[in-house]
Amino acid sequence: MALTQEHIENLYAFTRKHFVEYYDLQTELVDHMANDIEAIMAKNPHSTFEEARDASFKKFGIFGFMEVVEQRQKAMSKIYMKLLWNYVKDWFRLPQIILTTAIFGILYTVFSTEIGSYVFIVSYLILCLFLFIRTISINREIKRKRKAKEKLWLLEDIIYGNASIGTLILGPQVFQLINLTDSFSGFMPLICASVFTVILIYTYISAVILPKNATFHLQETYPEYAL
Amino acid sequence: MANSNLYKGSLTTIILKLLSEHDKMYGYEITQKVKALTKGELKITEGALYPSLHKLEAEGLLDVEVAKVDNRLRKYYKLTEKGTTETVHKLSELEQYIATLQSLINPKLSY
Repeated sequence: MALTQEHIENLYAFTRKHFVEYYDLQTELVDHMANDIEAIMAKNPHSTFEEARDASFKKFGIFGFMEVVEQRQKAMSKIYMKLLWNYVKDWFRLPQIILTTAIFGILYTVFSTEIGSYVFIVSYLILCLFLFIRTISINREIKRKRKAKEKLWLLEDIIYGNASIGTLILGPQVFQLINLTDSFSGFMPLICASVFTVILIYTYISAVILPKNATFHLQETYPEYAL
Repeated sequence: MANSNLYKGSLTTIILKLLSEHDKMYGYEITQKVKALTKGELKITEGALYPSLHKLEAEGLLDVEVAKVDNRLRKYYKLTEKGTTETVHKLSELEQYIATLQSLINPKLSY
Protein backbone atom coordinates (compact mmCIF):
# COMPACT_ATOMS: atom_id res chain seq x y z
CA MET A 1 0.00 0.00 0.00
CA ALA A 2 1.44 3.37 -1.02
CA LEU A 3 1.25 6.05 1.65
CA THR A 4 -1.10 8.99 1.16
CA GLN A 5 -0.21 12.67 1.35
CA GLU A 6 -1.84 12.72 4.79
CA HIS A 7 0.51 9.95 5.98
CA ILE A 8 3.52 11.90 4.68
CA GLU A 9 2.35 15.02 6.57
CA ASN A 10 1.98 12.84 9.65
CA LEU A 11 5.59 11.62 9.24
CA TYR A 12 6.91 15.20 8.93
CA ALA A 13 5.08 16.05 12.17
CA PHE A 14 6.49 12.85 13.74
CA THR A 15 10.10 13.83 12.92
CA ARG A 16 9.51 17.36 14.28
CA LYS A 17 8.10 15.84 17.47
CA HIS A 18 11.30 13.79 17.77
CA PHE A 19 13.57 16.84 17.62
CA VAL A 20 14.41 16.91 13.92
CA GLU A 21 13.99 20.64 13.24
CA TYR A 22 15.55 20.93 9.83
CA TYR A 23 13.65 20.31 6.63
CA ASP A 24 16.49 18.61 4.71
CA LEU A 25 16.93 15.91 7.35
CA GLN A 26 13.17 15.62 7.92
CA THR A 27 12.70 14.94 4.18
CA GLU A 28 15.31 12.17 4.14
CA LEU A 29 13.96 10.50 7.28
CA VAL A 30 10.35 10.79 6.09
CA ASP A 31 11.21 9.01 2.82
CA HIS A 32 13.16 6.32 4.69
CA MET A 33 10.33 5.68 7.14
CA ALA A 34 7.70 5.79 4.37
CA ASN A 35 9.57 3.07 2.43
CA ASP A 36 9.91 0.97 5.55
CA ILE A 37 6.27 1.47 6.60
CA GLU A 38 5.10 0.41 3.12
CA ALA A 39 7.26 -2.75 3.39
CA ILE A 40 5.98 -3.52 6.92
CA MET A 41 2.35 -3.03 5.86
CA ALA A 42 2.83 -5.21 2.77
CA LYS A 43 4.19 -7.98 4.99
CA ASN A 44 1.51 -7.54 7.68
CA PRO A 45 -1.63 -6.27 5.93
CA HIS A 46 -3.49 -6.04 9.24
CA SER A 47 -1.10 -3.59 10.88
CA THR A 48 -2.19 0.06 10.99
CA PHE A 49 -0.11 3.00 9.74
CA GLU A 50 0.67 4.07 13.33
CA GLU A 51 1.82 0.56 14.32
CA ALA A 52 4.05 0.29 11.25
CA ARG A 53 5.43 3.81 11.87
CA ASP A 54 6.35 2.98 15.47
CA ALA A 55 7.95 -0.31 14.39
CA SER A 56 10.01 1.57 11.81
CA PHE A 57 11.07 4.21 14.35
CA LYS A 58 12.26 1.49 16.76
CA LYS A 59 14.90 0.49 14.20
CA PHE A 60 16.68 3.80 14.86
CA GLY A 61 17.55 2.49 18.34
CA ILE A 62 16.82 3.78 21.84
CA PHE A 63 18.06 7.30 21.09
CA GLY A 64 15.77 7.66 18.08
CA PHE A 65 16.92 10.26 15.56
CA MET A 66 19.38 11.84 18.01
CA GLU A 67 22.55 10.25 16.59
CA VAL A 68 21.54 11.09 13.01
CA VAL A 69 20.82 14.73 14.00
CA GLU A 70 24.11 15.11 15.89
CA GLN A 71 26.19 13.65 13.08
CA ARG A 72 24.36 15.79 10.52
CA GLN A 73 25.30 18.89 12.52
CA LYS A 74 28.95 17.81 12.51
CA ALA A 75 28.90 17.16 8.75
CA MET A 76 27.21 20.50 8.05
CA SER A 77 29.73 22.37 10.24
CA LYS A 78 32.43 20.83 8.06
CA ILE A 79 30.68 22.18 4.94
CA TYR A 80 30.44 25.62 6.61
CA MET A 81 34.15 25.61 7.47
CA LYS A 82 34.98 24.76 3.86
CA LEU A 83 32.87 27.72 2.66
CA LEU A 84 34.53 30.03 5.17
CA TRP A 85 38.00 28.80 4.21
CA ASN A 86 37.31 29.39 0.50
CA TYR A 87 36.33 33.02 1.23
CA VAL A 88 39.37 33.51 3.48
CA LYS A 89 41.67 32.18 0.73
CA ASP A 90 40.11 34.71 -1.67
CA TRP A 91 41.24 37.53 0.64
CA PHE A 92 44.83 36.54 0.15
CA ARG A 93 44.63 36.68 -3.64
CA LEU A 94 44.82 39.67 -5.94
CA PRO A 95 43.17 42.19 -5.85
CA GLN A 96 41.87 41.66 -2.25
CA ILE A 97 45.39 41.21 -0.89
CA ILE A 98 46.11 44.86 -1.82
CA LEU A 99 43.09 45.91 0.25
CA THR A 100 44.19 43.64 3.14
CA THR A 101 47.68 45.15 3.08
CA ALA A 102 46.22 48.68 2.90
CA ILE A 103 43.93 48.02 5.91
CA PHE A 104 46.88 46.67 7.89
CA GLY A 105 49.09 49.64 6.83
CA ILE A 106 46.50 52.24 7.84
CA LEU A 107 45.78 50.52 11.18
CA TYR A 108 49.49 50.18 11.99
CA THR A 109 50.15 53.84 11.13
CA VAL A 110 47.23 55.09 13.24
CA PHE A 111 47.95 52.73 16.17
CA SER A 112 51.60 53.92 16.19
CA THR A 113 50.61 57.53 16.89
CA GLU A 114 50.41 59.03 20.39
CA ILE A 115 46.67 58.46 20.61
CA GLY A 116 47.05 54.99 18.99
CA SER A 117 45.81 53.07 22.03
CA TYR A 118 42.60 55.15 22.20
CA VAL A 119 41.99 54.77 18.46
CA PHE A 120 42.42 51.01 18.89
CA ILE A 121 39.88 50.83 21.73
CA VAL A 122 37.37 53.04 19.85
CA SER A 123 37.78 50.96 16.64
CA TYR A 124 37.27 47.80 18.67
CA LEU A 125 34.13 49.22 20.31
CA ILE A 126 32.72 50.26 16.90
CA LEU A 127 33.31 46.71 15.60
CA CYS A 128 31.58 45.22 18.68
CA LEU A 129 28.65 47.61 18.23
CA PHE A 130 28.33 46.65 14.56
CA LEU A 131 28.35 42.95 15.51
CA PHE A 132 25.80 43.54 18.27
CA ILE A 133 23.38 45.29 15.87
CA ARG A 134 23.94 42.54 13.27
CA THR A 135 23.23 39.84 15.90
CA ILE A 136 19.94 41.49 16.84
CA SER A 137 18.77 41.70 13.22
CA ILE A 138 19.82 38.07 12.53
CA ASN A 139 18.05 36.79 15.66
CA ARG A 140 14.90 38.68 14.67
CA GLU A 141 14.98 36.99 11.25
CA ILE A 142 15.47 33.51 12.80
CA LYS A 143 12.60 34.12 15.26
CA ARG A 144 10.34 35.32 12.43
CA LYS A 145 11.06 32.15 10.41
CA ARG A 146 10.36 29.89 13.37
CA LYS A 147 7.16 31.74 14.22
CA ALA A 148 5.97 31.59 10.61
CA LYS A 149 6.84 27.83 10.63
CA GLU A 150 8.88 28.29 7.48
CA LYS A 151 11.23 25.49 6.43
CA LEU A 152 14.42 25.56 8.49
CA TRP A 153 17.80 24.68 6.99
CA LEU A 154 20.71 23.60 9.14
CA LEU A 155 23.37 25.32 7.02
CA GLU A 156 21.42 28.59 7.20
CA ASP A 157 21.30 28.32 11.00
CA ILE A 158 25.06 27.65 11.14
CA ILE A 159 25.77 30.65 8.86
CA TYR A 160 23.58 32.95 10.97
CA GLY A 161 24.81 31.47 14.26
CA ASN A 162 28.46 32.06 13.35
CA ALA A 163 27.64 35.57 12.16
CA SER A 164 26.45 36.49 15.63
CA ILE A 165 28.93 34.48 17.69
CA GLY A 166 31.55 37.25 17.27
CA THR A 167 29.62 39.46 19.72
CA LEU A 168 29.95 36.82 22.44
CA ILE A 169 33.67 36.33 21.81
CA LEU A 170 34.79 39.92 21.18
CA GLY A 171 32.43 41.81 23.54
CA PRO A 172 33.80 40.62 26.90
CA GLN A 173 37.42 41.29 25.80
CA VAL A 174 36.82 45.08 25.86
CA PHE A 175 37.65 45.32 29.57
CA GLN A 176 40.91 43.39 29.13
CA LEU A 177 41.90 45.63 26.21
CA ILE A 178 41.32 48.85 28.19
CA ASN A 179 44.22 47.76 30.45
CA LEU A 180 46.44 47.66 27.36
CA THR A 181 46.28 51.44 26.93
CA ASP A 182 48.95 51.87 29.66
CA SER A 183 51.51 49.69 27.87
CA PHE A 184 50.73 50.53 24.23
CA SER A 185 54.33 50.74 22.97
CA GLY A 186 57.04 48.58 21.37
CA PHE A 187 55.52 45.80 19.32
CA MET A 188 51.98 46.48 20.62
CA PRO A 189 50.80 48.64 17.67
CA LEU A 190 52.12 46.00 15.25
CA ILE A 191 50.45 43.09 17.12
CA CYS A 192 47.16 45.01 17.51
CA ALA A 193 47.12 46.07 13.82
CA SER A 194 47.74 42.43 12.71
CA VAL A 195 45.10 40.94 15.03
CA PHE A 196 42.57 43.67 14.22
CA THR A 197 43.06 43.15 10.45
CA VAL A 198 42.38 39.41 10.87
CA ILE A 199 39.29 40.11 13.04
CA LEU A 200 38.00 42.65 10.49
CA ILE A 201 38.35 40.20 7.59
CA TYR A 202 36.78 37.34 9.59
CA THR A 203 33.88 39.56 10.70
CA TYR A 204 33.29 40.84 7.18
CA ILE A 205 33.23 37.29 5.75
CA SER A 206 31.20 35.60 8.50
CA ALA A 207 28.78 38.42 9.36
CA VAL A 208 28.34 40.16 5.99
CA ILE A 209 29.40 38.12 2.94
CA LEU A 210 28.26 34.64 4.01
CA PRO A 211 24.78 35.72 5.26
CA LYS A 212 24.39 37.82 2.08
CA ASN A 213 25.23 34.81 -0.12
CA ALA A 214 23.34 32.35 2.11
CA THR A 215 20.59 31.66 -0.46
CA PHE A 216 23.15 30.81 -3.12
CA HIS A 217 24.98 28.39 -0.80
CA LEU A 218 21.71 26.83 0.37
CA GLN A 219 20.69 26.18 -3.25
CA GLU A 220 24.12 24.70 -3.90
CA THR A 221 24.01 22.44 -0.82
CA TYR A 222 20.32 21.43 -0.82
CA PRO A 223 18.83 20.34 -4.15
CA GLU A 224 15.41 20.38 -2.44
CA TYR A 225 15.76 24.09 -1.57
CA ALA A 226 14.47 25.15 -4.99
CA LEU A 227 11.60 22.59 -5.02
CA MET B 1 25.71 -11.11 11.78
CA ALA B 2 25.85 -11.53 15.56
CA ASN B 3 28.48 -8.87 16.13
CA SER B 4 27.67 -5.73 14.16
CA ASN B 5 30.82 -4.04 15.52
CA LEU B 6 32.83 -6.12 13.07
CA TYR B 7 31.57 -4.27 9.99
CA LYS B 8 31.46 -0.74 11.47
CA GLY B 9 34.91 0.24 10.26
CA SER B 10 34.04 -0.95 6.76
CA LEU B 11 30.67 0.78 6.45
CA THR B 12 31.91 3.70 4.33
CA THR B 13 33.73 1.27 2.01
CA ILE B 14 30.53 -0.79 1.64
CA ILE B 15 28.54 2.36 0.77
CA LEU B 16 31.16 3.58 -1.71
CA LYS B 17 31.39 0.14 -3.37
CA LEU B 18 27.59 -0.06 -3.79
CA LEU B 19 27.44 3.45 -5.24
CA SER B 20 30.25 2.63 -7.66
CA GLU B 21 28.04 -0.13 -9.09
CA HIS B 22 24.92 2.04 -9.38
CA ASP B 23 24.35 5.41 -10.94
CA LYS B 24 22.63 6.72 -7.80
CA MET B 25 21.01 5.25 -4.68
CA TYR B 26 18.90 6.45 -1.75
CA GLY B 27 19.33 5.52 1.92
CA TYR B 28 16.62 2.89 2.25
CA GLU B 29 17.71 1.29 -1.03
CA ILE B 30 21.26 0.90 0.33
CA THR B 31 20.03 -0.90 3.47
CA GLN B 32 17.88 -3.27 1.39
CA LYS B 33 20.63 -3.93 -1.15
CA VAL B 34 23.12 -4.90 1.58
CA LYS B 35 20.50 -7.11 3.22
CA ALA B 36 19.76 -8.85 -0.09
CA LEU B 37 23.41 -9.27 -1.14
CA THR B 38 24.38 -10.80 2.21
CA LYS B 39 21.14 -12.82 2.46
CA GLY B 40 20.23 -10.98 5.65
CA GLU B 41 23.58 -11.68 7.34
CA LEU B 42 24.54 -8.02 7.41
CA LYS B 43 22.02 -5.36 8.36
CA ILE B 44 23.06 -1.73 8.14
CA THR B 45 21.30 0.18 10.90
CA GLU B 46 19.62 3.49 10.14
CA GLY B 47 21.51 5.15 12.98
CA ALA B 48 24.83 4.26 11.31
CA LEU B 49 23.93 4.66 7.63
CA TYR B 50 22.84 8.31 7.53
CA PRO B 51 25.75 9.71 9.58
CA SER B 52 28.13 7.87 7.19
CA LEU B 53 26.34 9.22 4.11
CA HIS B 54 26.37 12.77 5.48
CA LYS B 55 30.05 12.51 6.39
CA LEU B 56 30.95 11.30 2.89
CA GLU B 57 28.87 14.14 1.42
CA ALA B 58 30.67 16.73 3.58
CA GLU B 59 34.02 15.30 2.50
CA GLY B 60 33.05 15.85 -1.13
CA LEU B 61 33.00 12.12 -1.97
CA LEU B 62 29.25 12.08 -2.64
CA ASP B 63 26.95 14.38 -4.53
CA VAL B 64 23.21 14.61 -3.86
CA GLU B 65 20.12 15.12 -5.94
CA VAL B 66 16.47 15.19 -4.98
CA ALA B 67 13.51 13.92 -6.98
CA LYS B 68 9.81 13.76 -6.29
CA VAL B 69 8.77 10.11 -6.11
CA ASP B 70 5.07 9.35 -5.53
CA ASN B 71 4.01 11.99 -3.03
CA ARG B 72 7.33 12.58 -1.31
CA LEU B 73 10.84 13.85 -1.93
CA ARG B 74 13.68 11.36 -2.27
CA LYS B 75 17.34 12.18 -1.78
CA TYR B 76 19.74 10.27 -4.01
CA TYR B 77 23.48 9.91 -3.49
CA LYS B 78 26.04 9.42 -6.23
CA LEU B 79 29.82 9.32 -6.35
CA THR B 80 31.80 12.40 -7.27
CA GLU B 81 35.06 12.14 -9.18
CA LYS B 82 36.93 12.34 -5.88
CA GLY B 83 34.59 9.65 -4.51
CA THR B 84 35.36 7.29 -7.40
CA THR B 85 39.11 7.58 -6.76
CA GLU B 86 38.60 7.12 -3.00
CA THR B 87 36.49 3.97 -3.60
CA VAL B 88 39.41 2.28 -5.40
CA HIS B 89 41.74 3.28 -2.57
CA LYS B 90 39.35 2.15 0.21
CA LEU B 91 38.65 -1.18 -1.51
CA SER B 92 42.32 -1.99 -1.88
CA GLU B 93 42.82 -1.08 1.81
CA LEU B 94 39.96 -3.39 2.82
CA GLU B 95 41.24 -6.26 0.65
CA GLN B 96 44.65 -5.91 2.25
CA TYR B 97 43.04 -5.95 5.69
CA ILE B 98 41.05 -9.10 4.86
CA ALA B 99 44.24 -10.79 3.60
CA THR B 100 46.04 -9.86 6.84
CA LEU B 101 43.17 -11.26 8.91
CA GLN B 102 43.20 -14.44 6.82
CA SER B 103 46.89 -14.94 7.53
CA LEU B 104 46.15 -14.57 11.24
CA ILE B 105 43.11 -16.84 11.30
CA ASN B 106 44.44 -19.49 8.93
CA PRO B 107 48.21 -19.21 9.11
CA LYS B 108 50.03 -21.28 6.48
CA LEU B 109 52.58 -23.08 8.55
CA SER B 110 55.86 -23.93 6.89
CA TYR B 111 58.34 -26.41 8.26
